[in-house]
Amino acid sequence: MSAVPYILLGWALTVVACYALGAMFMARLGTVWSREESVALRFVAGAGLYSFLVFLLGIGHLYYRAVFVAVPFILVALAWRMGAFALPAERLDPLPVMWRRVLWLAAPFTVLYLSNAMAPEASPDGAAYHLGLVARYYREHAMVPVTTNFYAALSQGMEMLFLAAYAVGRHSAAAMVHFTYLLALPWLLICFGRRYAMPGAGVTAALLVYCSPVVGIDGISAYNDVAAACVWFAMFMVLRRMEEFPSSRGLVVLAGVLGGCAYGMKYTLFSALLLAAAWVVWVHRGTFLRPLLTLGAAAAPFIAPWVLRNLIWWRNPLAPLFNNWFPNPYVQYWFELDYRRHMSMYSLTSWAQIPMEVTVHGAQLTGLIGPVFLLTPLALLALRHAEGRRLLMAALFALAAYPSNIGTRFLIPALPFVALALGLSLGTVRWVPVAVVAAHAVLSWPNVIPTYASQWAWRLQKVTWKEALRLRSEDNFILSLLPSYGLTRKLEEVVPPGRRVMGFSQLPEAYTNRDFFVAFQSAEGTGLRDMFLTPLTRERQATRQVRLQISAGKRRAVRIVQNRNESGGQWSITEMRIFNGVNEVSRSPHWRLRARPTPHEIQKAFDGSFVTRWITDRGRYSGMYVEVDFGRDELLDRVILNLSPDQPWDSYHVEVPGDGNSWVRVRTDLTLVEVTTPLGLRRAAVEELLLRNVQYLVASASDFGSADLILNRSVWGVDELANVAEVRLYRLLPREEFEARRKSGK
Amino acid sequence: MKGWVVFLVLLGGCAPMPESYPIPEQRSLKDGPEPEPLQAFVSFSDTRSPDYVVGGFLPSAPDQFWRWASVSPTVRVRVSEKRGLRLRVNFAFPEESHKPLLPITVRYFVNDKLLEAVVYKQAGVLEFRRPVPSEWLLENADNLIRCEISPVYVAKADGMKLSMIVSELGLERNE
Repeated sequence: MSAVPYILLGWALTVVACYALGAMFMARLGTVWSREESVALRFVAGAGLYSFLVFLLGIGHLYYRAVFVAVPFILVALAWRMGAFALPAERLDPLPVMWRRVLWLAAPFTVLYLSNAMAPEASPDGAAYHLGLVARYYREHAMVPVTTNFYAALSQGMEMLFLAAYAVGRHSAAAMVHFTYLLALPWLLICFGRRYAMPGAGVTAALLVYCSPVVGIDGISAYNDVAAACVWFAMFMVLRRMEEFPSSRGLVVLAGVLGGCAYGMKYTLFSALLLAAAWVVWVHRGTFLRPLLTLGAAAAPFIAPWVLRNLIWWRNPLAPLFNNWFPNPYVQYWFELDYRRHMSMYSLTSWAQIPMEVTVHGAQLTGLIGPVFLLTPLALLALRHAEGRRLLMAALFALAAYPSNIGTRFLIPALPFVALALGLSLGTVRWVPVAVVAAHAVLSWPNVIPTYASQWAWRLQKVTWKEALRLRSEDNFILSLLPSYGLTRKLEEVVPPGRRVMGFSQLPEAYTNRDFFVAFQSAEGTGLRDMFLTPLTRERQATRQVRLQISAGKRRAVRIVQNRNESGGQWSITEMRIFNGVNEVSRSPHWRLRARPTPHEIQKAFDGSFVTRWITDRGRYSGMYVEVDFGRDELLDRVILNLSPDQPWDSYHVEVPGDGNSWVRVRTDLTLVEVTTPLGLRRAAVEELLLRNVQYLVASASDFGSADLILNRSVWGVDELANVAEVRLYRLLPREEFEARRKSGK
Repeated sequence: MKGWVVFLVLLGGCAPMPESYPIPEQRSLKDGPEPEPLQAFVSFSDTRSPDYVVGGFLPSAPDQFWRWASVSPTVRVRVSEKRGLRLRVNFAFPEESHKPLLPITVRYFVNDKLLEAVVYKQAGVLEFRRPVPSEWLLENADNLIRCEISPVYVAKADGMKLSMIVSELGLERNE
C-alpha cells in the first residue's frame, strides 16, 4: 500500500493531539485571545505539552504505533467532553483587501513546501540525527541513552513530536509536523499585525519569513528551527498581551510553558525565558516576585526532563555543553572547544562576511534568508514606535546565542521580529512594502535563486509532487540529495543486526536499523578514531621515550606531574612503565590507576598497546598528573613514558607519597630517547576496534586514512563489502580469521 | 511502570565517576604485518592483488583468478627502474555479452597520459603490450595504470557496468 495515507495519518494524528491538548490547556487559562489567534496558539502550546507527554511515554517504554494512534483519540475525546474546542467569540479586525491580495504571493510557496514536506525526507541533519535518533528510540520502544552521539544530549522537544508522527507515517510524517509550524508562524505574524493595528506590517513580515529560502527548506525538513521561531514568537505575543492584562495569571503560565518549550526544543533559545522573566519583572513592577515564580514553575516541567536525563545518562545536566564544569566520559571538553570554535566561524575568515553570506550567497553558512534582508538596517527606523522597540528588543534576545553558531538557520528565531520591525519601517509608503515582498517572493523562488546565490546554497530545488505522492522512486530521490544513502541501504543488506558500525562522516542513519555511530560525535568515537589514525600519522605514534630517573627506594605509589601551562595542546601518554634498575616492575592486579584530568581514559596508558593512549580532554595545565598506587611498597628508581612527538617532553617531575595524604616532589632527571614503535600498528588498531565492539567501518573517499585502507586491506585485515558513491563499507576480520588467512597466504 | 522505576533508581544512583581504575587487559607486543612494497605487475591470482586496485573493479569471489572491470579500472604498481618497461594487459571480452557491443575502444593510460587507444573488433581473450616512455614513470612511487572502455555491457538484472575481464596487468621488462 502507498505510504501517502500513513504519512498524512501520522501527521494529522500528531497535530490533532497537539491541538486538543492545547485547547484543553488554554481553556483553563481563561480567554484573552481572538478566534484567529487561538487556533495557532492552541497548536503551539499543545505541541509543547504533547512533546512532554511523549517524553514520559518513552520513559515508560511505550513507544508503539498503537499508543500514538490511541493517545490522540483519547485527547480529542477529553477535549470534546470539556468543550475545549469551542472557539472564542472575539474576532480580529479583517485584513484590508489590498493586503489580502498580497497574501496570494504565498500560494506558490505553499505548493512548493507541501510537496517537499511530503516527499521523502532527505535533509542532511534530519535524515542523520534528528530522525536517526527518533528511529532509534522507536526501535527500542523507549527513550534510551545514545552516548555515541552528542546530538542525543541536546533537548529533544521537537524530536518527541517527530516520534509521534514517525510511529505512524515514518520520516515524511515527521517532516510534515515541522511544516505545520511553518504555516503557524506567518499566521501568528498576521494575527499580531491585525491586533496591534499594523496589518500591513503583519502581512509583510509573514511573507518575508514564509518565502525566505532557508525558512522554507528548514521548515519542510525534520529540523527544529522554524518550530523554535514559532514558539518564540508565540511567547512574545503572550508577553505583549500581558501588558494589557497584567493581573492575568494565565498569561504568565502560558508564557512560562512556551518559554520552557523553547528551551526543550533548542538550547539556544534559553534567552526566550530570560526575555519572559525580564518582561514579567517590567510588567509587574514592584510585585514581580510571585508572577516570576509562577513563570519559573510553569517552565520547569519542560526543562527538567532534559536536565535530569542528561544528569543521569551523560553526568552533565547541560550536555553536550559545559563539559569543563561537568567532566564526563561521553563528550570531551577539547572537542567541545573545537566544535564551538568551528560553529562560531564555519569557514569564514571574518564576521564581516556574514551579511552577504546569509542573505545572498548561502553556501558557507548553509542557506540564505534572501537578498531583501539586506534592508534589515532599515528596521531600526521602527525604534520610533513603541511596538518597534518591543520587537527589536525581542530580536536582540533571539540573537543572543547567534555568535555561538553563525549558521544561517540560527537567525530564524530572530527573523519574525526583524521582519515585523522592517514591515513597520517600510509601511509609511504603502507600495514600498508590497514591492519589497514581491521582490522577495521572486528572488526566493527555486528557479531564481541560482542566478545570484552559490550553487552550493542549501535550498529547495523544485516542486516535488510526484515524489510526495510516491509516484517516483523514494530511493532515487533520496540518493539524488544524499549520495551516501546508498551505503545506508547496504548496511541493511550486509551487516547483521546487533553489530556496531563506525563511520567517519554522517550517514542518513534514519534509514537504517543498524547500530551506526560517527566517530567525531562522542568521546568514545574520538578515541577509536585516534586509534585508527595512529598507524597513519607519525604525530600520534609514541616515537619518544622520556625517562624520569629518581633515587631508588620503596614507594607505595608514584605520580608523574605535568608542569606546563599550554591551553592549546593536550597531554597524552601511550604507555607508562615503571622500572627498578633494568627490571620492569610488573603490572599487578593490585595496582590502582588515577589521573587528573580525564581519569576514565587512564587505562589506555597501561594496556601494552601502541595504538591506544591516554589523552587529556583539555589543554595542559600545571598540576595535571597520572598516578599509580601499587597497593604495597615497590622498589623503583625510574618511570618511562612513551609519548607522541606532538607535545613537549621536558615538563614533568615525579612525586611520591609523603606524610598523611601529602605528596612530595622528588629530584627527577629527565632524558629523552627517540625510539621506534612496534610493527603492525594497522592490524593492532583493528584489533582494538574489535575489542571495543566495533565490527564494521564506513569510510568515504574524503576521510583521512581512506586511501590507505583501500590499498592495504590485507594488512589492516579488513574486507571491503560495498562501495557506493566512493563510500566504502569494511568488515573487520576477527583475529582468528585474520591469522588463518595469513597462514594460508591469502 | 517498570520504566519509571528504572528511571527513579537511576536518578538515585547518579554516582560520580570512579576515582581509580585497575590495570586493564594487556595487549601483545609482538610485531604485526606491514604493507610490503608493491611490485610492477599484478596478477589477480595473487592474494595481494586487492592492494593494487585503486578502483573500477567489481568485487571478486574467493579463489577467482580474474576480475570484472567496470568503466574505468585503475591499478597502482611500483617500479625500481623505470627504463625499458612496457605495459601488458591480459583481458577478455566474453563472446556472449560483448559481441553485440563491438567494436569496443580501450584507451590505455599510464599516470594519466594516454599510451594508446585501441579499437577491438573481435571478442575473446586478448592481450595488449606497448612500451612506456620512461619519463612517464616514477621510481619507488605509485604509478597508476588506467583503462577506459567504451561501450560497456550493462547487466539487465542490476544495471552493473561490465567492461572486460582482466586476469593480469602491469609493467614488465621489454624483451
